[in-house]
Amino acid sequence: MSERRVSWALLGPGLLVVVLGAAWLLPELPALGLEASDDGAPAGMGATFDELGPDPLVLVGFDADIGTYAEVRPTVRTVMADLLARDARIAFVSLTVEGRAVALAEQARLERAEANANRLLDLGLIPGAEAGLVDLTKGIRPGENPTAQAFAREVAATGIAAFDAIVVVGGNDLGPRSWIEQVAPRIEPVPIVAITPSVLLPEVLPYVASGQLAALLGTPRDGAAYRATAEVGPLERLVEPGGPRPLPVLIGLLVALGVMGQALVVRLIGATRSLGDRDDA
Amino acid sequence: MPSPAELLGRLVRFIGEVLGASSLRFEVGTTIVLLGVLLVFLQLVARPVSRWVTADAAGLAGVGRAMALAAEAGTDAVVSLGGGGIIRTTDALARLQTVASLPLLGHVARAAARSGVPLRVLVNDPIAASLAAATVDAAHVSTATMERQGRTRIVIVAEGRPAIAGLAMTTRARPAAAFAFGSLREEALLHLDGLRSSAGSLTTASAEAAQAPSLRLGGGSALIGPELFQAGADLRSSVDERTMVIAGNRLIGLAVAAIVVGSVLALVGLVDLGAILVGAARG
Amino acid sequence: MRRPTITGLVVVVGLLLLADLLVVNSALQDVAGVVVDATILVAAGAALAAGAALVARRLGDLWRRRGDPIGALLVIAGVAAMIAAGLRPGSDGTSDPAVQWLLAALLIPIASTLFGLLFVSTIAAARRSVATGSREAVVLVTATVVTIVLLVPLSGGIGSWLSDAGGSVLGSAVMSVFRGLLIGIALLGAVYAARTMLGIGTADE
Repeated sequence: MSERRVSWALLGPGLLVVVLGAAWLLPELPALGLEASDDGAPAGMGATFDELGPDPLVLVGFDADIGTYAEVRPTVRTVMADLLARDARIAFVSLTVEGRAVALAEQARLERAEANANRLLDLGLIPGAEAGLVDLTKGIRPGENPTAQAFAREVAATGIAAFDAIVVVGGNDLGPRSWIEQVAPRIEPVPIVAITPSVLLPEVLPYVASGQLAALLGTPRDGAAYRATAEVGPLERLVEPGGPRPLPVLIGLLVALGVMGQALVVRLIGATRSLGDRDDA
Repeated sequence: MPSPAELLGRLVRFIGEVLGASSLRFEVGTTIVLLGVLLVFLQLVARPVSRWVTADAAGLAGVGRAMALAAEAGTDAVVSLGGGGIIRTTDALARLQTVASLPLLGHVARAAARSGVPLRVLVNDPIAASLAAATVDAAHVSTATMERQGRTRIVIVAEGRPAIAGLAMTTRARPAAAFAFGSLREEALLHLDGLRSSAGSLTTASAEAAQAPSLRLGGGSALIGPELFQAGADLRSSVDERTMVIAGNRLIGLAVAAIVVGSVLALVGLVDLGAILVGAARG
Repeated sequence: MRRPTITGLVVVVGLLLLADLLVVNSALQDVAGVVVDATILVAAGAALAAGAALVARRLGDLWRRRGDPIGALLVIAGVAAMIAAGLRPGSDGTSDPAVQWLLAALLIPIASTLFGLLFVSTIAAARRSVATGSREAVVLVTATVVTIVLLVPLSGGIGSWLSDAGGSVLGSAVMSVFRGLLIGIALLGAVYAARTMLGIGTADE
């Protein structure tokens, strides 16, 4: 590799971080926006929540991946606020250690923001991967929950049948697919919705088409559109102030376009030249 | 003492009571689809008659040459069994990929054993480590190279996918050949980039659909999607491996037929085959 | 060579769980429940054993002065810090502020940074693939460039058009390819699992 290329390879990523950081500090540009015009996904999530009825119980399967959680975090917090604004009671359960760590952090955040503790239940970590999911369908043991004892008693008595909906926060090894495969066939039909990073789209999008997932927020655009339309009322404090900024996203996209486009153009020129040489020969 | 006829009668009544107390969890269509996989497979096990054409999509059959070059250079070869593991908290497909990677590890281990090339196997799970160790030991036994057994190392990286990717990215080793078989998810490109930058050649195999582009971009030869499960049949002539692939191909043919027929039926408005197959559960 | 007892156990447990999935029967459910509970206990025990084995191995590496001593020290220090934070007298366990701080200040930034590197790795890998001349890579990167253009976050009419086009590309063109891949993986995976469950063949020689 030439010296110039080595310099670009070493300096390029650092320069990119500096530029992105600077773009983050600039004010919003009206010409840019992450909200998609096709509001099918966020509308689907809203419609699913609308159909839940009064005082619903919602089971949140919280198995986010630490590395990709930053992409879905604003959307997850908005969904939690939306559910609490609809007077839902939320029970958190995790099947992975990373998911459990993030779930604890989110519950601690809700506590600090003075969310109604009677409406939050911690079901802990269930080990055993799919066996744990199957066990969840047979019975739920809430453990110690001093602030939500009535909620805990109701869940312990009825098990998973107590819940009116399941929200799966994916990203980790066990996500919406595992819930659909292991839980959905074993319980009475309840809507299962998912919030996942875009890396999982190929796996979860077919479940939306087949109706096994009632709704999915799987891209930053869907998340932005949902956040723009969700009505959380007085629970604005639970929502993350501001989501991903479109300008850094645009810069990232342009850098990717530039690097890949340049490679394609060079390849095209090379192919054209070799064709020309062959013709001359 | 009851007579044989009475015993038989009691048995039939017992079976009847058990059946009477049971019901199908899914709709009939879904149950038949689930059983169909087993039935097609079992039918083929009973009579595995079919022509076989070796594909060798990733050039694994030529790994012996890579090992010979490694032996000349005096370097080792590294095999990563991905981030799925066996006992760690991951889904069944990831675990299945780790199990399906063992024949590929066996193939590489036999080539390495014949050439006297030390092997480094990266895993993130003690159970996967013991399976990998058993596979490598079996390779040495089958090639009568027990004296070289001690040169192979099984490295348990740590819990979690980022750990194994981080190790691959930061290693200072320069193996002659690198192989990555198994479940590779979000960390796939980091993992493969780390292996590719330090190794002379890279061969990958993973059944993670979302990471198919990463395997293509990672460089070297790649087995994507179902090819991981099929590769063993191309490397070995064992009947059950090939039977499995033949059964899989027949089921894929059935699935394609069901999609085409179902699409036509849905388009003309006769019946929604998809809804029948997805079905609904009863408790 | 697989031992017959293990093969028998796999066959019995596998068929039992498959039967419990397909048939609703209270007696079968109870038996399957016992097996599932045993699986959970084994998984939990194995997770603990894996952690202990990792620490023991790193301690052994340090004692025998082999491998990466700094890496071994960091692993042991990290495990010790987390255990001390979570299990010290008076701690709230996983909810303890010290544990939360270790997660928020160390683990989450490190993991997020690692995945942030994916951006640079992916475009570098794309560039490299095109340069090596593989036809598949050229098609893949060309499709990526087109998709990225559709993802540009513009507001107004152009943004709406781009978003709608992106949705069509994702929902139809891209997903049709992935559906085929997913069906192939699912069927081959199911057959491989059936083979393993029925104890046909061995995982290795």
